[in-house]
Amino acid sequence: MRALDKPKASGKKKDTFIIDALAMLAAMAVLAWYYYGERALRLILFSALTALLLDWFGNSLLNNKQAADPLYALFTGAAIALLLPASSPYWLPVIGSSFAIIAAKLPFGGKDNLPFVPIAAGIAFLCISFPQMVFSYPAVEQGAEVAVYGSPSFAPSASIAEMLSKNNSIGVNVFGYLNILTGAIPSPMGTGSLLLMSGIALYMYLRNPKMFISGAGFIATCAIFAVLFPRVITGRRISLLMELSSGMLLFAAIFLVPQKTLRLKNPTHRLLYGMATGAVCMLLRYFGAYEEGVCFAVMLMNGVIAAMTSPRPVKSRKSPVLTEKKQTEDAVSSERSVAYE
Amino acid sequence: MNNQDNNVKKGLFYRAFFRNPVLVELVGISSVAAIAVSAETAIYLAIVTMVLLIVAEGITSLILKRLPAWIRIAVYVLIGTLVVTPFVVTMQKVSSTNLNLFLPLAAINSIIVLHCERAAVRHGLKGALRDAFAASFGYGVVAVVTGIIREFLGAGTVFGIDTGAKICLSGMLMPFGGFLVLGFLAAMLSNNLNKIYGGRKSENAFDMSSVETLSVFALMLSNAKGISRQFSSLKNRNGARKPVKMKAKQKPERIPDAAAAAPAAETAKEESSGGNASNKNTENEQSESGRQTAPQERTAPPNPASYERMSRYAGNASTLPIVTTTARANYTSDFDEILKDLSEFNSRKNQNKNDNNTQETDKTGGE
Repeated sequence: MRALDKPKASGKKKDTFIIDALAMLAAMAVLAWYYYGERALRLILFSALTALLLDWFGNSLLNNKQAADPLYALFTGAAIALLLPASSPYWLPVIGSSFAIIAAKLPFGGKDNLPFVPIAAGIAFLCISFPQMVFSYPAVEQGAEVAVYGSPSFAPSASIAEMLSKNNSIGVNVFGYLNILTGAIPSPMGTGSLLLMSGIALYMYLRNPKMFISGAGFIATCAIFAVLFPRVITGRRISLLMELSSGMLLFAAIFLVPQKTLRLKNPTHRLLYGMATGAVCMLLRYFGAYEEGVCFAVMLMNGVIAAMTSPRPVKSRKSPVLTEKKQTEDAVSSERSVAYE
Repeated sequence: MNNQDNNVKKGLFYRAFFRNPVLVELVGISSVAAIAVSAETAIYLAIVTMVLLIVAEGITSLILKRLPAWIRIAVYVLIGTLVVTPFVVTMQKVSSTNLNLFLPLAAINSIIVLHCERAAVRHGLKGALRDAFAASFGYGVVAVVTGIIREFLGAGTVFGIDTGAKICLSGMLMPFGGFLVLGFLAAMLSNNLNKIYGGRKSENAFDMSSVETLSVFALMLSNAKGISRQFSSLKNRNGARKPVKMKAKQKPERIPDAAAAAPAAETAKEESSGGNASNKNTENEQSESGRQTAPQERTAPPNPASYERMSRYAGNASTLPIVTTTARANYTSDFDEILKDLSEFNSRKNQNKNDNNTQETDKTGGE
């Protein structure tokens, strides 16, 4: 009997996405520290701490401590900092993570009920509010201290995304393939190295292949767009390489597109969602106002999916219309029964 | 007296905030999000809306009541254009503020249609003006608060005065910033109103059931007259906002299982023996009502007129998806009459019982 009383171990695996993601973000932070020094680590620290504190404080204020998720808040804050240039002032990631937590996380409850990815919301808000700061990347000079945006010593360098928007191609004199592989190019702090991002993608795929379906669809669609409609005249291969290694595209494919909160359980639906996000992302890159449109594409498709899928049923709450109808019917029945007496 | 009358006669604070057009009724949001980017433009928007609403509701209560609903909608747009156009032209000459494309669009603000159809059509000039002032006051307060917040966050100024803020979030000056601010304001208002009004829920839905235009289309489509159960639920929703909890006294008393089994068996016998159609109908109605009574009691309705009304009320009439105001009036009168009949019937029944008791006691006493 004792054996029967014990709760059976559920067949579901424990959700390790956040822990894996944090481990991978740590690898990206090491790369940022290697190229940009301690300033990169400070940016990540400030952003992560802001997200953590706001999540805890906000949920305490709303009497919803169960929804507080320190790991998810850490992930959100650190990721926002890693998607910004190393030259950004310290308040920039703080504002981004604050917006992500206050506007995209706290009003919707815990991490399982989020219609929008908070990281995408935070980056999108920063892109709209401070586009010049977000898209001005410092040159990679190992050992030298990074100049803050706006200071006299700050000299912005052209990133791959900016080159693509101006139809310029990479070459021997500008960037070599080795630079793109190792991350020695002007780019967001954590996403510069194609080699590192590919390794992270492989790791995340091996850890949770089902969840990665949408990310795979996203990358495949972006690759097809890059090959079919190249923005550079040096060839389709170069176009493919530049599109995939520029900006936040690979980061989005690994961390932003495969979200558990999407309510899409069918693998086909997830694949279609990833492909649609990829198509929107490339259209925004081609025709949008900014050189990077990943976060906008993710948010747009989040909204579409949230509108298309029905909300989860809550057993404890009854809809007011139904209760009123029932009450009315009860009232009618009671009146009629009284009348027949 | 229905809910609309109650709302019109309640205080300004109640009507301006508990039924706030922007934060509670969710009308006119787009104009606030687009125009109220600073305190100054928000004040212009508030003035335009107040003038527009007062004029439109006044004219509607005086003249437009007699027109059909589908004509009234077009007239609202005309009134809006007549009021807004001179204001915009004057402001462009007088003020240096950039009143963009959205302020002229205030002429077709949804708040006008809703409040004219809800309040002005049903009340006299005084009630309509009360409603117009309260609604536009609530609208203006929300617009100005939104404008101040957005101006401070987006430009670092309040009423054009520099606050010394170094960081300006220019995203807050975009429409999505307006929607964000409105969302947070709505949450705060809902939370505080629940505290003020003792946990009573605010009306957070745009209730179009009382707008007569839709009912006109419904009439055209259905061409039906009558009252349905859906109608009764709508009445309940509009008439008593607070969900009424059934008191123990109001609940019908349940007959014990043993007692209930006997009538059920009798009805089964009657059905097997081939009872007439009228009996079957009455039985079906009673089974719907969830009340099982003795067969002798079922066949005797209290009053023919009231029985007819009750049968209509219970859903024998053809269904009507959306309710007209006139039908609602009929409904309320019917409902009141039913209640009167019921009370009369109960009093008669009690009298009969008392008479029977006295007769029995006389008999027993005599024996």
